[in-house]
Amino acid sequence: MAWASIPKSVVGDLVDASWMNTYVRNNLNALSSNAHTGAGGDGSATLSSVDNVDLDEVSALGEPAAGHTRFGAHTDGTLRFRTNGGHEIIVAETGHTH
Amino acid sequence: MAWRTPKTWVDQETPSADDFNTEIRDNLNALSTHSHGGAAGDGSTTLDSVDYIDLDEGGALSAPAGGHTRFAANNDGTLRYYADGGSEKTVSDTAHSHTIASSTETKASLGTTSLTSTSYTNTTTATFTPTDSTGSAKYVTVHFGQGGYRNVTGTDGTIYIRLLKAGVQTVEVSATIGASVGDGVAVYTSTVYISPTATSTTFAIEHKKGGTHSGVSMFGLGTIARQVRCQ
Repeated sequence: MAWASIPKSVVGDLVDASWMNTYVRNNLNALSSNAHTGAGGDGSATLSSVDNVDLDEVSALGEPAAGHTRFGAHTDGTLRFRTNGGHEIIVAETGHTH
Repeated sequence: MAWRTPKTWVDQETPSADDFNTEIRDNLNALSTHSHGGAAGDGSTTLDSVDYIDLDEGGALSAPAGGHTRFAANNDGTLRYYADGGSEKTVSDTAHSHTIASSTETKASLGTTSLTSTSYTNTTTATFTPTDSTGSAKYVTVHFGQGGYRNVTGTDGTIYIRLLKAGVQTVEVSATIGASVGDGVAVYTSTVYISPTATSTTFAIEHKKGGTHSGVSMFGLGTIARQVRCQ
């Protein structure tokens, strides 16, 4: 359910079932699955002061949408990233060898 | 407070304090601490179109839960990650470098002598202590050996040389010397020891002649050990 911009209430407004469902229920549901796209109700596109991110470990990264780079963790313990139009790349650690 | 699916309101309904507390207050409180675990009210597990994430810089990472990898910034300016069951690792950047360097060579040689033995003889030894490769710096030791021979009897035959590390043969090669008096041949080979043990070690060369050959003059038998740092 998309986020609906909430109108500013004024004295005399009737808060009916439709208002409650549109601006309370539906907006709560929109918030419940927020993905931080930056759109209203979806959370900021910039995450500030995050301590750490615990990534699910997956077997392969799918291709992200155009203009995006996907970043994830692999089940083999490596970090991976994939650009749109590119392929999955493994991040090197400072202790790597040749 | 756990998220609960918001109720559908109906006309003529008078919201009670309990409605406001459970349907609005508690759910807003649940949303206020969402951590994107994927459960309803906790935010999606896939973040879409995030421009960037500003990570707090901290100290050491603790281990994440099973099936997860933790990603964070360290206060030393590096990015770190810690896979479940692993250890904390630092992300490398494209400007990282490896140190490549060569040591001076350690060598030994034997001058002109008559080679008559069909068993390996004239052990010529260079003693060298490789640098420890158990840390982040890695080394190889290159071992090279060569002998020069001249036919002094007019009988053709085969000349053998071998390299030994700590008294154990590691490589052997041979070459045929021409049948005429004065014919010569150089016999040479090399080998590489990757991350050898950091203890004083002998790197030697020995030679012998084939059984049918009656006599060869050897005019130089040498061995060189040289270390190269690879990173």
